[in-house]
Amino acid sequence: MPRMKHVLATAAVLAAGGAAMAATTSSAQAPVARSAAAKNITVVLGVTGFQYYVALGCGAQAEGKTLGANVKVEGPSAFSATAQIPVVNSVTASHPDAAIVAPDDVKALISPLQQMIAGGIKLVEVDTATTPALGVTQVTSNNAQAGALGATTLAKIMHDKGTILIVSTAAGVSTEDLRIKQFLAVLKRYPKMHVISTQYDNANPEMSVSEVSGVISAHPTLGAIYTTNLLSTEGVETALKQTHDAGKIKFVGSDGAAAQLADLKANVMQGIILQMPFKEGQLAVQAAYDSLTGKTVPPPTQVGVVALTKSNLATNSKFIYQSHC
Amino acid sequence: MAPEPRLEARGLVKRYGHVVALDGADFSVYENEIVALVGDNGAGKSTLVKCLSGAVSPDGGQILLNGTAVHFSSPSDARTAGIETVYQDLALAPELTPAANVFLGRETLRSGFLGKLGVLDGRAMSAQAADFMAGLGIELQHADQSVASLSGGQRQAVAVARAVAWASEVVFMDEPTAALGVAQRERVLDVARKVRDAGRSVVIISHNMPEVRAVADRVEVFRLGRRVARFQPEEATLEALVGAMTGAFAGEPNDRTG
Amino acid sequence: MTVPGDDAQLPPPPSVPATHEPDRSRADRVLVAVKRSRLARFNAGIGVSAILISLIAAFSIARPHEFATGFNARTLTADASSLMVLATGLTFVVVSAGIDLSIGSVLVFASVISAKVMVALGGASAGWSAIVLGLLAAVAAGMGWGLLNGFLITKAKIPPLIVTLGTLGAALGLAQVVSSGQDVQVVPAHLQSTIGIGAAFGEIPWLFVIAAVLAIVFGLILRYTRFGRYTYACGSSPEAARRAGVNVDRHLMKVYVIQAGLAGVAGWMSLAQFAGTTIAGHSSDNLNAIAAVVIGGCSLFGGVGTVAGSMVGVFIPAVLADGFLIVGLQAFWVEVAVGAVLILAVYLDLLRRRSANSA
Repeated sequence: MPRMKHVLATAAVLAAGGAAMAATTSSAQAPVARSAAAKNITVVLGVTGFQYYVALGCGAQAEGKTLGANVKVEGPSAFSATAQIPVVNSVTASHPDAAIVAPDDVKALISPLQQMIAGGIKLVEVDTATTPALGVTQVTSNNAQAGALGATTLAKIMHDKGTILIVSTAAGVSTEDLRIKQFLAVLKRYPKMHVISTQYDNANPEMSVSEVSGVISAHPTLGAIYTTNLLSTEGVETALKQTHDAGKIKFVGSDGAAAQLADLKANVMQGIILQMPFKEGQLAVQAAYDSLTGKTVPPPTQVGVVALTKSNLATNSKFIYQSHC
Repeated sequence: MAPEPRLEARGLVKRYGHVVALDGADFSVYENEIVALVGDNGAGKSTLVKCLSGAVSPDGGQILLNGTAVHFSSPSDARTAGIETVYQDLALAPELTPAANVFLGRETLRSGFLGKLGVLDGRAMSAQAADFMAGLGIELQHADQSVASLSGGQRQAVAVARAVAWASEVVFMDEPTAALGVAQRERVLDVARKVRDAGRSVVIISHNMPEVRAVADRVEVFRLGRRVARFQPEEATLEALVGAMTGAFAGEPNDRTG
Repeated sequence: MTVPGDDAQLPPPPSVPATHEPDRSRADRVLVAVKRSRLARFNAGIGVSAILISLIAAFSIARPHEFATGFNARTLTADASSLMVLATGLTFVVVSAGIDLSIGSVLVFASVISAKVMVALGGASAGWSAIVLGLLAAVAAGMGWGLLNGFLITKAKIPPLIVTLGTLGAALGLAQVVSSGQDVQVVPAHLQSTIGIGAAFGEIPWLFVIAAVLAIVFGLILRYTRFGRYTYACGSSPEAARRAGVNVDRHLMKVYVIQAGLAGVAGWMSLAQFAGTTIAGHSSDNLNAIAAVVIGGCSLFGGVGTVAGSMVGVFIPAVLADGFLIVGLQAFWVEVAVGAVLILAVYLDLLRRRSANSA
């Protein structure tokens, strides 16, 4: 029967392929005692291809090389719990010794991460922690400090006075809300500076372009713009160039890669608030390795932020996020 | 004694704006006969069929079925009355099987509780459709394949079978052989004969004069929205037919059925 | 002569002997018919089922302790459940020659409404009656969008692609209005612990049980009932269906309402799975569902497809992603592989159509 032949042929071909895959790729070790063998650590990024997370992954892999551990980097193709959870579950199924996860949703990832821990895998949460926090420790960015530093940097650039537009992703993204909250708290120290509008662009740079142009038209005396994330920064850069307001309207953005460094040098941006994802990745792998080798695991750590401006390019431009390791 | 027509149109009028498609048209189909309806383009053949099959409402005139005046407000009315049409474009669902097409809109449901849920009795429908088509001389190798994979002639046969299966009175066929090859044409005409022999009347609209003469028991000619001639087969020479269609033939011939 | 009625039977065949075809042409016809039917069946369920089974076999052989485990099976099936429900509904729509881009947004809207209802009825400590009401609210919210889609498509005669492109934005926007842009993160504890992470007999995730039951029920409806046949007919040739007396507009309306109602169920299921709404997380649900039904054998031109095939189409990308990660191949290749399977499925459908139309 032609159908049966086809089924058997396909099955045979793919089964052979499976055997070949088993032979050529490095197999995860069977779940028995393996004290002397190299440790396997898998990193699950928030989303692949995003420079902040690329840097995080690079830091993790660099630390892995130093310690002699096998560090694999995985991640979902979209920044959402629905995309990340299957990846987390697959990692759990593949039994690494430890896992480092940057959760996309502080509530939805709790159950899958608890399953990961129940499977005997040491977990280190990185970038943000779930609520409540899980795992042996957490290495997170200090979003409050990022917001505060954004405010003080902007105040210096604006000479303590002027109107501000904030551009963020969406109300409800906890990391960005925290930055805005601290930004506003610190801004109170500068009575002559105030925020005239907060726009949300839903992680769509084109949307921030149109929103920003709209606000600029409505408020020709706008003094400065502050963004809480890299995608919004990209949108604002484009908007300022289109309306020829670059340099006239001051701009401090959160997170930056090579393009933002170029714009800083070209005076389109006057300040970039940088987290240290490379260092976060390193610290996370170190903590995971410690937990696997019986050493005391460091307590939850908040990694600081730096402000990059034209005046400190020499010392701080190395903190710009890389696009590849 | 004049036998009553099975289906008769008397003085039908249909206007589309200023265009008069039917101008007091008469038409008759008797029991167990094949009537060919011929005429040039624009003569009103399609409009007449649409009126008689319920697709269109005439503006004036009468339609009688077995002597009783009827009024069709939709094709469903005509179908309920036992009149079916095989359209020129066949109107088959290509991805469905022949049996599914034959029973479309009139599916047999399983008995009892399942039937109330709308569960189909696929086996019964397949068997009945196969039997019926075999009776009409239509043989399909794989009755469970889609109509789209059949040849043009076989598709035609399925469309005809669908109409014939449900028609208790009259089957209209609009240009049934227009898109077919020579061998397939003969098969369709054979089916028409079988349909007549099984007790339904058949009306064939055709441009194909040799075919008309080969299969029809009578010919009615339309021109400019009315019937202009009626022929018995032996009278229906090519010149006579064309002459009536184009008006070269002056006056109406005697009504032979009288 | 019988008059056709509801339970009409075909009249007995005329007792006239059938004419016999000359053997030569019959043999040719048989050959051609057999070839065409072989091709016609190829791209349907059997082909993709074989691919899925072979993939599972290959990954199981490559990584028996990681891939072929109960844990992996449970998480794979639970994670795929939402897409299974969406693809079940979308099968009906695509078989009817329609399309629905708004399913992810309708899911989100329904989940927001459902969450708000359950919060109002007790929140985290709400009982099962509140949970059931939440489910009904989700289904009703979904069906509302289905009615709108159906109305605009059948009465206003706007193409489904355009209509659902509009409701894609409108439903998501309205969901954000209702929720003020914030995810609702309070769901009844019972909902999450039982449906969300619980398993029947301790082994089969309840999410998967719900999705499988819906797939089986609606699959049977599509294949064996009059409603299902009318769906195929409307997709294959609306004109033929209309002339046969089927109320095509009303039927299509029902199809879109069913589809959106199922999206509502998926929204309620996602509340259980994620312990809250995930407003930003469903923007590619529509394309994933379309890919699933197409891989599973649905033709985007209508008239062809099965729910069973669509379920296979759901699992092929999921198994590929899971297997690739476990084996250690780069995840980006999964997208390439899924794209290739998708194109192959559409190409086979086109071949089938061309061979049919050349008759």
